[in-house]
Amino acid sequence: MKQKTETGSMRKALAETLVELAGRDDKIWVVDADLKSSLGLSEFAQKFPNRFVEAGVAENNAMGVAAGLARTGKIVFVGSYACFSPAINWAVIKQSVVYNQIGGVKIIGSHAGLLTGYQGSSHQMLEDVALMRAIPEMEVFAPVDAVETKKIVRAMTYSRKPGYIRVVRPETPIWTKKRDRWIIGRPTKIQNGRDITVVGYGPVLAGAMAAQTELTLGRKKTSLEIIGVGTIKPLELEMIVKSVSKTGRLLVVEDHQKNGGLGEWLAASLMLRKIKFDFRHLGIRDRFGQSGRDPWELYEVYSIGRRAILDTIKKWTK
Amino acid sequence: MGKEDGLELLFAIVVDNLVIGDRADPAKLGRLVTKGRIRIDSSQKRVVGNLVGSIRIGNLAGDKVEEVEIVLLIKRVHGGLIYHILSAILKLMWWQNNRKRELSERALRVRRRILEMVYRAGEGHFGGPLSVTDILVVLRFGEVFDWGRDEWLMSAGHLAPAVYGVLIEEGKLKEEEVAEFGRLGARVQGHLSRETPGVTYGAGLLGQGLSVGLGMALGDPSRQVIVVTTDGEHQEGQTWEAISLAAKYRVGNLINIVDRNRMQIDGSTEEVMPLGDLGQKYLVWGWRVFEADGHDLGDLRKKMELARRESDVPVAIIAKTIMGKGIREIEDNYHYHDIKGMTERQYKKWQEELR
Repeated sequence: MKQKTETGSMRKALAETLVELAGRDDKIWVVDADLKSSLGLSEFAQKFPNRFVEAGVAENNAMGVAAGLARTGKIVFVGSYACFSPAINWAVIKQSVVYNQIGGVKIIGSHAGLLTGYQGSSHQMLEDVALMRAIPEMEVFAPVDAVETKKIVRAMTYSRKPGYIRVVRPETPIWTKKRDRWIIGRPTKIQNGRDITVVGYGPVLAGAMAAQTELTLGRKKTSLEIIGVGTIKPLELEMIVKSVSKTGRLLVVEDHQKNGGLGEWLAASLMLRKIKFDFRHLGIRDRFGQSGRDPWELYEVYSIGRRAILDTIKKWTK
Repeated sequence: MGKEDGLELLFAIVVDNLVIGDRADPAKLGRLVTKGRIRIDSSQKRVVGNLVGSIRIGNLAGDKVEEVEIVLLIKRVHGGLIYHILSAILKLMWWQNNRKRELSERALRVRRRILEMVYRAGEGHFGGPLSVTDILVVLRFGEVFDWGRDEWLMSAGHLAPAVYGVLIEEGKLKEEEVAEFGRLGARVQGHLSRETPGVTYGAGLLGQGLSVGLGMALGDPSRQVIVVTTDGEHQEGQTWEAISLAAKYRVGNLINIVDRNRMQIDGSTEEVMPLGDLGQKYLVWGWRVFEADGHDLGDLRKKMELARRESDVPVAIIAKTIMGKGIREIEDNYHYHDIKGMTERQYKKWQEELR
């Protein structure tokens, strides 16, 4: 059981890694859509002005330009809020980037999920994983924490395929260890356990960790095996298959619509492998987000936080 | 210029049975008629003047020679003058007309291929490919750009038949592939695919190509990037996003050639979603603009050359074209934007016209 009080900012981790990589590799460019300070890209713009394109409030063009730049050999990070990119420019991603085999475009979807907070529904992208998973060849990443964010950014920069990375607005707890290696396709075991396999991506796993703390204080010593899926596509299933075969119970938690999210796909994949398991799925149930000053409270309201996880587990293991 | 004699010579030279080039083709014998006004500057032993003329060869309609300035060194002031003028004219006109004739023949072959593709497939985009043909032929064969270094892309994927017609001309696709258009497994997909040799941008959705071309131009300022767009495509907002950004960064190595045929699927562009004076709009946006007759090979070439030389700001060439150009029956008619079930009768009739 891990007590994690250290927190970190995914946005900051991403931006710092980009600056670090760009200092060593002049192929790395950034295209922004009027959100550079929010995405933490001001330092990049200042240090590498000749590799920074400010496209203004024009996400379609920003994406097309990124594709064109990448065709001349650049590795181009094109960043905005997830509710704008890929939401607005999905068709430009599909055609100008992926259909045209441009592996050098790396898409940053910031402020993803409910954690955007007070800005409300229009700025809470709950469908981005569904959108991006559906595009052939697109790699989809959702780091568990700031530490993992750095590793993912490094890996996706030099991947030959186009990639999408989903990061959130607030600082989030850190569970992964700096020294652990991160490989595209391989999920991260955050905690070993016997009774229930909990799989999730991004900061929802904070709820699972908190739930574990409460469970161990109760009479039933339910132990959770918690797996963080920073790499949603591609995803090697061995670790999860092994875990679910052991526990017989799979709980998927995601800050995303259930429709088109990870849970549906994971359950189907395990069924195809003839694994026998009991399934629970916590995600956004076909509804929009809303404003909230405390982002973590939103998790509770939408039943993907600690309370919902606890309730689900308690009912399950009665 | 030196001291002028003030002697002006008006002349007309008529020569019958002129043989052009190395091959004496009886069908190609014709008349050279040219007239002009020249000044003789005998102190410098130079002849300077403007010549405008026409040449009629065989059955082809007369080509207009552009006004050219010819500077000759004359060996003798009087005797050989006419001879030298004539030979200079001939050399220039022969070169220009030979090239233009060659381009013209290529364009004809491309149009024939478009007809073939669309007939054999049973359906296909028709009017647009025909209107953009001359632009593409001059672009790729007009010897304006350096294709070892420069890049181009077709933003409108439905103009694929024209692109394929040109790629066959380039030897990147085979002549037989006209029968494969839209077929399962064919390289000649219904809309442009990046997998097809010679296709630089897989397109189908309109309005994205200019953004991509802009990115390419930004990424490598040492080469020209030419994007070919349609006027209808300018109804997509993304086009104007790209136009804005290109102006912001003064992307002088970007050229956009617009196939302005004033037609789209549901009607004329000015009825469906008026574009008005596109050239003026580009000017206001900060681009340099040239207007061209999209079916005058010489004019297209000239404007492309001028566009190439502009390096401070991006350039738009608004090429005035006619949808369905080449087949009189369907010219300027939006109903032939695409065609389904072309009859054998139509096919044979239109084949004859493209001879």
